[in-house]
Amino acid sequence: MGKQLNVALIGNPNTGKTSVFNALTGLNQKVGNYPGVTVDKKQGVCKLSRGVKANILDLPGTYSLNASSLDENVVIELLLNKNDKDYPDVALIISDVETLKRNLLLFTQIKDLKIPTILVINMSDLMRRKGIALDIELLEEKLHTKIALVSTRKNNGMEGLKQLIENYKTISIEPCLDTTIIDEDYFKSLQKAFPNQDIYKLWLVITQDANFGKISRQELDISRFKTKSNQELKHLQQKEAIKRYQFINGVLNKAQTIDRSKATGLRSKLDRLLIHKVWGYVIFFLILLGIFQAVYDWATLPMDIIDSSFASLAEWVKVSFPGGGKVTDLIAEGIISGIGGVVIFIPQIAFLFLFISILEESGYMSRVVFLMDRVMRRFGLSGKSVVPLISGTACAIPAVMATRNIENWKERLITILVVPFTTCAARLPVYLIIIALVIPDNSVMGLSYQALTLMGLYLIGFGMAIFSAYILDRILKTKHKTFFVVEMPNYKLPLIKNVLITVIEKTKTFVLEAGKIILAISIVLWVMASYGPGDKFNNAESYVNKNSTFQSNYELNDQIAAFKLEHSYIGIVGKTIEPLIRPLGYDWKVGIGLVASFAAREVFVGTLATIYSVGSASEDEETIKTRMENETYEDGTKVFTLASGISLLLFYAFAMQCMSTLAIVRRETKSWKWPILQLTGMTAIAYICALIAFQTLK
Amino acid sequence: MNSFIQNIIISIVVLLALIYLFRKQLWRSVKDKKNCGNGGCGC
Repeated sequence: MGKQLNVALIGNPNTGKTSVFNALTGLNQKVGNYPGVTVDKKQGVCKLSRGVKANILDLPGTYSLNASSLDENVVIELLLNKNDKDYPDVALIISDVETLKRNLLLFTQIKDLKIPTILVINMSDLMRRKGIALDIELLEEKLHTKIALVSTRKNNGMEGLKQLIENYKTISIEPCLDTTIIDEDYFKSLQKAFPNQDIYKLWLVITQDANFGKISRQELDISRFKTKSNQELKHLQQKEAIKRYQFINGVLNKAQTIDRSKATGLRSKLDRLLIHKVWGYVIFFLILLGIFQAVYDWATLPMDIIDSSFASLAEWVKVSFPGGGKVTDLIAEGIISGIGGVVIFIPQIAFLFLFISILEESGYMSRVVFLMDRVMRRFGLSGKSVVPLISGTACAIPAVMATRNIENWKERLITILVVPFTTCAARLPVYLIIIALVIPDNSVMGLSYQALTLMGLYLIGFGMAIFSAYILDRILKTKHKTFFVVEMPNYKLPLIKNVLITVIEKTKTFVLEAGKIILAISIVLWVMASYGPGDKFNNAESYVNKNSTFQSNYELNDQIAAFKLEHSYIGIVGKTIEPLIRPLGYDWKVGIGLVASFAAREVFVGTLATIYSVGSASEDEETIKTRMENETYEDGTKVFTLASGISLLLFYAFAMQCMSTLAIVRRETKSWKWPILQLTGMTAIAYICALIAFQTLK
Repeated sequence: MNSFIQNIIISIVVLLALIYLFRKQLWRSVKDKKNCGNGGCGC
């Protein structure tokens, strides 16, 4: 087995850390969690020469080693714990060429921990355009390090970086700053109390939050040393930052020249427009409109192909293996329909994440966050609530966890409670099938009604989140506001590789995670739909024959299939709740979908696919959409009309149908009170809105 | 295929599906949902 190195990627947020990680590891990466906390842990492998492998760990972005959030704690915990299996042999500090000064604060802190540290200056291709010149040799000498100038966009400098990683032992571990200059008396007495310990490490342990101090404080037995008050420690931390910036300024004055006259002012011009108090919102709205239109236009063809392919496959299985009996039916109607219900949404989900990823990569998403902060404040939310609300469009779980950086408890609680209103990816399949059924496929000024409806649903979800926050703010009486700080990264052309990795990762997660649940539920539902108690289910043929006036075999078989479904186990469940949902415009089959999707809403489409497959004896290759379109009540009226469709869309927009989100809310609030309130409140809102919509539109 | 064998096969498949749902998903989602949270996971 070859030699293995541990390499940690550390840097401020938005410096291109993930781009460097992707460039080093390609697709050899996996995402996990740090033990005890729910911060993403991204690891990957980079092959160096002579069989040496580097385990690359992409640590959460941090501005300094003075932690104020759980994400930052993860970085410090690792760097202070030499026994950690991921403790780095070498640290790569990723800095953006334009924000070198700010990044060097973190660099000097890590360097002072005596870890071999390489300074990676990313986006070096922009140096000339920004009028920046660096004396690399002088920087290396002053900072006692090796520097790699890279451009992940142009794929420059990566080989040089790999060589530096391989030769990490040649890098000096001499610290940048003599820690004692912060406060001579204090640090000398500290050193005296712990002569065998590294003084800067000790200082970090003393000043950091007790959250991670539980490991290191015990090891170091800090009680032997009489430390200062919290206020005095904070003062010393400020003094440390000043000393470090004095050192950094001294270095950069000699090694860096910036000629602003050579820099182009594109960023400021774009910012003036994109975060303008009127045009900013107009542009954001137009971008959203374009995205939803493209999602619809581009995904239609592959979706149609997938839909008809699965219908053909199910039919082929039935025709080719008639001797299999019920097992063949299980494969054709349960498993293939279930898988088809997942796979069909891959094109739209992939396209949506493609656009979201492009917006994030280009730096525009930070402008959106800034723009929306103005709106948020009026509704009692923190500016920091914008990030969870926007990330909630992917999944409510990380969004709820992203509220951890909101310091004020009540603002955080409100954000947690309203985040599930934003349209997550799991709602998308439900929206898409219902929209396709009830919204006409026409367009106005080149914009399809279907795309506009989808966009409307996203806006309704967001609007309801803000409205609920406003109400909760009045009830919970939030008094303290937090400050909102967001960094505006430079605009840049999105890296195709990064965008594609995001799209592949998100789509893969949807197919594998949601897909497995949908498939399992589809199988259970098929059995519940194919078996039933009592005489009516077992002797369905004779019951139908007795009352039937149909002539053809096809019509008769269809009647038998429908009769059996009605008297199957699942039919009984659907029929039981029908009185409750009939005022909303749903029949008992939709009711089955609603019950099944209370654990996870994306199950709805798979459930209907299974139910309508079982309930049809058609020999034709009918798609799920066609079957749902043709579904009628006993009096011949259609089940899926504009009124019932809008009612169903609103129900799914507002109902809390995700057990995992409830579990995470329980964990974050440490109480069952809030998830129960969330479940009942959201379900009540969903029911009332759906009821009003159906009764008004019918 | 014999009707008895068909029922046996279907019972095994359903049992596996139920075990998966309750042990791996519902139970674990409350205890420790490690791989959740990357979007589109149905949460």
